Amino acid sequence: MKNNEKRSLRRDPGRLLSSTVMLFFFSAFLLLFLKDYAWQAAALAVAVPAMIWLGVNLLPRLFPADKLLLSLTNFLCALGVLVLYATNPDYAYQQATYYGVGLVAMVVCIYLVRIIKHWKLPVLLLMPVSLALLALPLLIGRETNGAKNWFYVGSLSVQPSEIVKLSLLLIISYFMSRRRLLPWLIFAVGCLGLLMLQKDLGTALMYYGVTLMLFYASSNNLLLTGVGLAGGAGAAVLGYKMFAHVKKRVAIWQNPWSDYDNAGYQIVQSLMAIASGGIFGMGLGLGYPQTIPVYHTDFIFSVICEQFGVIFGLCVLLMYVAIIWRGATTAMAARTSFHGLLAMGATLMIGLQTFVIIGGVIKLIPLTGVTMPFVSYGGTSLVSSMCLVGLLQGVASLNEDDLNEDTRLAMLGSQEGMQ
Amino acid sequence: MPENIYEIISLGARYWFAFLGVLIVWRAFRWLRKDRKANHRRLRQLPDAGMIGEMVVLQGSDELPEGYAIPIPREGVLGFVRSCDVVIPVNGVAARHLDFSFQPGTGLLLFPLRGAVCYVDDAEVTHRSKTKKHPMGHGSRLQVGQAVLRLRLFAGLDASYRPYYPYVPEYPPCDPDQPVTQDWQDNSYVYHQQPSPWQEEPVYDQAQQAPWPEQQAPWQQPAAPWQENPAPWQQSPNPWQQEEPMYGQEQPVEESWLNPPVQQGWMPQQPEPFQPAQARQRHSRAQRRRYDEE
Repeated sequence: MKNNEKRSLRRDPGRLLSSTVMLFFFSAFLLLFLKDYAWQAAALAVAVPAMIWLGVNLLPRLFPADKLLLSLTNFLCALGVLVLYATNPDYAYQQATYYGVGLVAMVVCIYLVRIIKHWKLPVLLLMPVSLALLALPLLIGRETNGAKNWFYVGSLSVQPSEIVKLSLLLIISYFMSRRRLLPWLIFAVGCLGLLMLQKDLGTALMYYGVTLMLFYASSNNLLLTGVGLAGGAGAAVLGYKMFAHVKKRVAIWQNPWSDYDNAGYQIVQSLMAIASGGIFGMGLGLGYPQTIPVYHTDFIFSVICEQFGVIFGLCVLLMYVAIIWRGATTAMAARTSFHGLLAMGATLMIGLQTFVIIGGVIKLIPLTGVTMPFVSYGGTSLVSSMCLVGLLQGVASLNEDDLNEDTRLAMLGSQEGMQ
Repeated sequence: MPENIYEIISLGARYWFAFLGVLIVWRAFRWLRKDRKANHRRLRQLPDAGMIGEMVVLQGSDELPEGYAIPIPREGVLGFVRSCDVVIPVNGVAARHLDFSFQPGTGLLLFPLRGAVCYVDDAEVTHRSKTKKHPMGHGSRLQVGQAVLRLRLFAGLDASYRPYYPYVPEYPPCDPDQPVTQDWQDNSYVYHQQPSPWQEEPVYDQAQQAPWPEQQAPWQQPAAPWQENPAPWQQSPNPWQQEEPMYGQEQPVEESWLNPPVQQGWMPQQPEPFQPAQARQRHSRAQRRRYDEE
């Protein structure tokens, strides 16, 4: 290999980024290993960087994958495993398993987007199945934290709204790209109605926001989007009047210290954890993250800020921004409106979910029970987030294929033109 | 490890993790920026990216004049309203008239919406028709409302279908003041615009920086235009000094502005060379419409 090639390989941005990510996790798990000399930490110090290396370098050999998206999502997933290991190792092992399942699910989604050319039949099949799945918690689910959005299959808990958000994106993108108003409207209203019945308002907000933004992206109709926005505000007011726990959450959001040892305990502990972390954090494996309620799911961002500091928390936020930027670029470059809307929907879903949960944790908006994409503990959430990235990756790989085809056609056309 | 030592190591490692976090973000954004630039450069070289060909208007309206070429994406909606991918502002075209999608190996498939009718090579296609029986190939004619369009596919696209419709040349209107329809005759394909070669921006070292031509020595400066194209009297042989024709020999008449070619009629004898369609300029629909109005 020549020197120039070696130098360019060394300066390859993908290589630089993945090596930094691997170094981060190797050193972090090594530090945790030094704490109690647990062999699991040593195994994770090797396994997690190896998994990232395989994910970033092996997958692009199968299809033209977006390495930046892969690197960033892998970083966030592994960060979840790291933080969970530092707080409760049992959660970390389960999360690592879900991470592997999520990677497989992501590859499946990429292939589905690449292989399926006619989405009519899958979409028509998905509509009743999704509505039935979403209705299941109302029939056999249990109420947790005021919402009835889970059901249990043996020891496995499933949150169907996380799965249905994938089919929502597919259905909405398909019908919007065909300019058919009624089917997606009926489906979206049905989903929102079921979510309201489950009192899962955070997910309902996400579904509604993504649907509205996709409608604007597909139709460019500002008037109807404004009407939809006004309708959403009306529904929010109605929800506030109807549901007691919504009123309570708004009141706690306005002043969490009014009931700091009861209803406001979550948010107060979260704010105190972020404040005690300071700029550089309390140190990995130190501090008291277990005092925050549901620290492993909703409040995992507070744990990150407490352990690594606000600067690192800001870096995590910027990583989400980079994912959203990349997703929007992929959506803009898509050749068919279906793929464009699908990529935009997946990006919006990730972005909105991140905004809703981090905004709630830092008391920017009222807290709603959604998970932090890729990071929070939860199999359904992690796998569905990886599937969203899979959809994005699938569109990105199709874009790359199309661009290569355009280059081929242009070269062919120019050759025939010269003859 | 004793807790107090671990605490010291962990407190020291905070800065390392913060540094790595910032480094990861910086590298990610640098990568994003780099990719964005590379993508723009690539798309600049492929102005037809995403298009499969164009529809040439054979019969249109004031808003859509004859000869206008509309770029056709791989799939989309054809209709009257401007939210459609292909806008045909002609009487008889519905707001959303038909969906279309290019299927490799077959051609451009049309899916008229309920109540809409179109004609592909004089064959009627409705929403009840088996669309694959009436694909559009290179040279197919499409009639939508009062508009008549001809499809031109880019070279290299795998569209096996060829129209059985016999070629009838669209004669230009008799009025010479009317614009002549620029339909293809001998060009079997529409070519893509030739991609420009990869051009990396030149990077000069400080020592090897190329000086501006004015800063160069006189013998190193490029030749002036009049030096490259000398005047006729400076040329050898001098074209002004025509040889006297022999008696009885027919004097050859060269075409020049003094001796224009004899016009046999208003229609050119030779088929016009292929002109890239003006619609290839990547303007937005609104810009194109404004341009048309002007």
